[in-house]
Amino acid sequence: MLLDRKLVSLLRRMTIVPEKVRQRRSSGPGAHLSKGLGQSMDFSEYRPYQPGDDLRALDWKVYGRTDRLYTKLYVPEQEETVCFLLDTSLSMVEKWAALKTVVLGLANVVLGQGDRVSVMPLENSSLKDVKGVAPSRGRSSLSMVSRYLNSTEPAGLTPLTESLTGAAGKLRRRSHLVVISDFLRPDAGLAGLNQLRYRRHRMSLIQLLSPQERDPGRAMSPGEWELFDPEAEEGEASVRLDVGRRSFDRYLELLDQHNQSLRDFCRTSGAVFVSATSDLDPIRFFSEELRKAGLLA
Amino acid sequence: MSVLEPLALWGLLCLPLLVIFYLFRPDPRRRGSTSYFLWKAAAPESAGGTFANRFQNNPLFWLQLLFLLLMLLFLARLSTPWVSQRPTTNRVILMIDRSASMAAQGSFESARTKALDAVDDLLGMSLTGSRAEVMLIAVDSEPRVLVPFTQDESTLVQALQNLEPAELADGLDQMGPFVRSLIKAHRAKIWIFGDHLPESLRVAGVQYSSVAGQADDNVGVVSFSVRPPDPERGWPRPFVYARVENFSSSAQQRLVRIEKVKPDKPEMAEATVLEKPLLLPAGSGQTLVESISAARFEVDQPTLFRLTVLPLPGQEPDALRADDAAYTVVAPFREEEIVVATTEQVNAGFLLRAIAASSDVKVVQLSDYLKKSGTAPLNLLIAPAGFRLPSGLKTRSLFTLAPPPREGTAKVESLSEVSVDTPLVGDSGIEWTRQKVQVTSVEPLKEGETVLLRSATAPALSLSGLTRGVPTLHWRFPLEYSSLPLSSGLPVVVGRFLDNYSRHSGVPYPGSLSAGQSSPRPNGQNWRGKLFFKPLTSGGRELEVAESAVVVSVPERAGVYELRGANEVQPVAVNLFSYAESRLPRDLEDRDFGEPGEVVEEKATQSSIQYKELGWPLLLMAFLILVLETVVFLKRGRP
Repeated sequence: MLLDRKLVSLLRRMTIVPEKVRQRRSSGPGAHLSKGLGQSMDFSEYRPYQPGDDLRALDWKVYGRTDRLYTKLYVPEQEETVCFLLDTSLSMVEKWAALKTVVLGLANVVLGQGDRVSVMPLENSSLKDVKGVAPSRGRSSLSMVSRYLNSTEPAGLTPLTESLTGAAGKLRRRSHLVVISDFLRPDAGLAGLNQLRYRRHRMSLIQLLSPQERDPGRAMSPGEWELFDPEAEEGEASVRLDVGRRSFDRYLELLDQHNQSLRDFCRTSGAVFVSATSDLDPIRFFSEELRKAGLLA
Repeated sequence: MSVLEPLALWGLLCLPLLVIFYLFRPDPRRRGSTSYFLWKAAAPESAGGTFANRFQNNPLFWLQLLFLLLMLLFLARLSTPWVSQRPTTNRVILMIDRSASMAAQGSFESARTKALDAVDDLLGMSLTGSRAEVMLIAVDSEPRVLVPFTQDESTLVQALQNLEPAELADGLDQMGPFVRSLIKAHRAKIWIFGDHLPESLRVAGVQYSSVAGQADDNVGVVSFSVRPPDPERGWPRPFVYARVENFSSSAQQRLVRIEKVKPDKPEMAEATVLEKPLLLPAGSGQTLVESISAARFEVDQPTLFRLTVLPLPGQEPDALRADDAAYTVVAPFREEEIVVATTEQVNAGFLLRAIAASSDVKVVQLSDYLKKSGTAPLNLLIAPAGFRLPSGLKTRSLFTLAPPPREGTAKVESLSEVSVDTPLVGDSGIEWTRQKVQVTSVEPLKEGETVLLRSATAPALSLSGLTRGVPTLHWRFPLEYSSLPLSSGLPVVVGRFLDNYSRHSGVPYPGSLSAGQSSPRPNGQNWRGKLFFKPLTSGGRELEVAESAVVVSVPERAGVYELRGANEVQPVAVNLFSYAESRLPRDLEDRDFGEPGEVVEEKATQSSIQYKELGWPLLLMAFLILVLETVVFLKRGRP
């Protein structure tokens, strides 16, 4: 799968916002981006002081000699591994194309800035290839990710909490986890996400919903409906509902509450939360929504 | 409630089809949803598990059921019985004021024209299918139905054309109950044509059409009489007494003229007795008391005299002329011979001496009187106690004396009643009392002393004063009996006396007046025998007065009438005065007080059971239910 040229061109100019800077950006006015302002002990170069720079990074000796303020720049601490945790359950079928775009786009950015990328499908009994893509660096990794995504078909049931908990056990090394799912489970997989947080992983949650899930009036009309859970076993969960106009409003209200619980989790854990629909506009998604969320810069 | 088309109820059979439709409707749509758990909380669970439950919580089913039922009832022509309140015809009552004031400024002619136009409007266009019925009522002092409800235009037109104003008082003020009862009883609208509309007639159902003129210069004669000379009272010459009232709000000037007229040609004046200008203050009047030479009123038989109020040269005549002329009848001036008879047993006591000494009184012995005058009525008989009247003797009063007084003292103990059939009014018009009189014994009279012969009720005889040692006898009558002095030539009141409207004056009618047992005074209320009023001034009908009439009917028009008795014919002047009519406030605006609906709804004159179909209400309800069903459908989706 090839990304649109325009999109690729855009992504080349973008980087993943380092975690510390992102945190500072979100700390309030005055925060700004400082390219290469790493936290490692390896000195990189001097740069004239700019308002907003950390005063601790000022070299007072140079100031003493030259009477000018210079900020010391350090080489970033170390390379980062961005791991995509993908929901491959049956409910993701219609969202898979959008998922691929998001994953490839972000992988493009990650690999472009020299970091490593890995893909890990969440636990799914129906999957053939459960290993995913091992962490790798370089442009060639992008084709590996692409191949994997193209060869994978969502199916079966993904117990979100359990699979995230399982992933937490497998990921020993601290990574940047990008979890892509619809999170449409009663508990939104929060317990599993907490497990990942306890492992001190950096997390970004991208929720992909189908347009029908975001606006149920597109697919359903008022009346009597028999609804069932497509991921449940046959005949296990089915209910007959009298769906009226008010039901749609109530649904949207509940969906908002559901997403609010995810937002609250992200706020407390310093994670990023982005919600999009599967008919998303890639340019707009990367250039606006992910930048606005603080994931890309 | 009734069903006029029961066959349409067979449509009820289609109701089960609706039930079956809902029982066999398809299963609900099935859909997989990842957000299944959200939907479960967002929408209520459907109760459509069993067949019976499918009807519950399904408003569409019930709305459709109701819609079908309403349509079935509509087709079955559901109706309700009701009592018709609708009048069968439109009724209009034309009420025309024809009282005396309507003669002013052509008001009556205007009213007649307007009424004719109304008749033409209501009945003239018969081709249009108008069903109006019209009644014609003339109102003066009383309402009179001239034409009962009819749709015949010619009858109404003829009645209107024959209608003339009457010189009677306006009785509209008292017509309130009558008008309301008309509206209520006939469910009719009343159109009043008049010159004023009292408050009592301003009710729903009345429409007032004003024909009042705007002139404000009305004056009128309210009293006119000629008093004969009375030397005893110091009136050697006859007096003219007249009162002219100014009813307008501005001072008026008029010329008063008194003329002698011929009874058979009253419009022709034989001679002018008096002519005098009068200045009448606003809202007031002037009393004319003129002593005129007896030669001007000297007549050998009862003669008519007319008082006319004329405008000065250059002045407009009065708007209301009904009271601009008054008549009176003057009888020949004759001295009354008052005869007092005594019996032989009566000593010439104080009373007798006093009577004998008074002027104009002739005292004779009863035996001499019987020989000379025969059965002519005797004015007064003084007789001892226990005296029996000779048969055939008619006596107006009888003084019964006590036993002969000793030492020259006479005492009258009682005054007996006279026989009932004796006329009370003598030839001269003097009325004699039938009351009992107690005469006191006081003698001799001293100079300047007055002794009243006491009576239980007036009038009574009295002795007054001594003139050069001679007492004078007078007959005195309280003022409430008459406003005119008693003397020969006294006018006889044959109508309502001192009424606020009319007074009829004439000469006494010899032999025709009779006393009723309980008749109210003053004189002349009861007549025996047939009397006829024959109008001399406006030729027409005779008015026959019933023999037993207590009050003689009032002629409608002022003028000179012929009072015809058994043997004699005398002229009688009838003058009509009305303070109320002359001071009537004019109402110049047309008014309409609305339809008589509120009044007549209290009671329906014609009611009938009818059936009123409920088609439109049912259709409207069905339509509303259809709209509601559409709204529910759009809200809930397909059933």
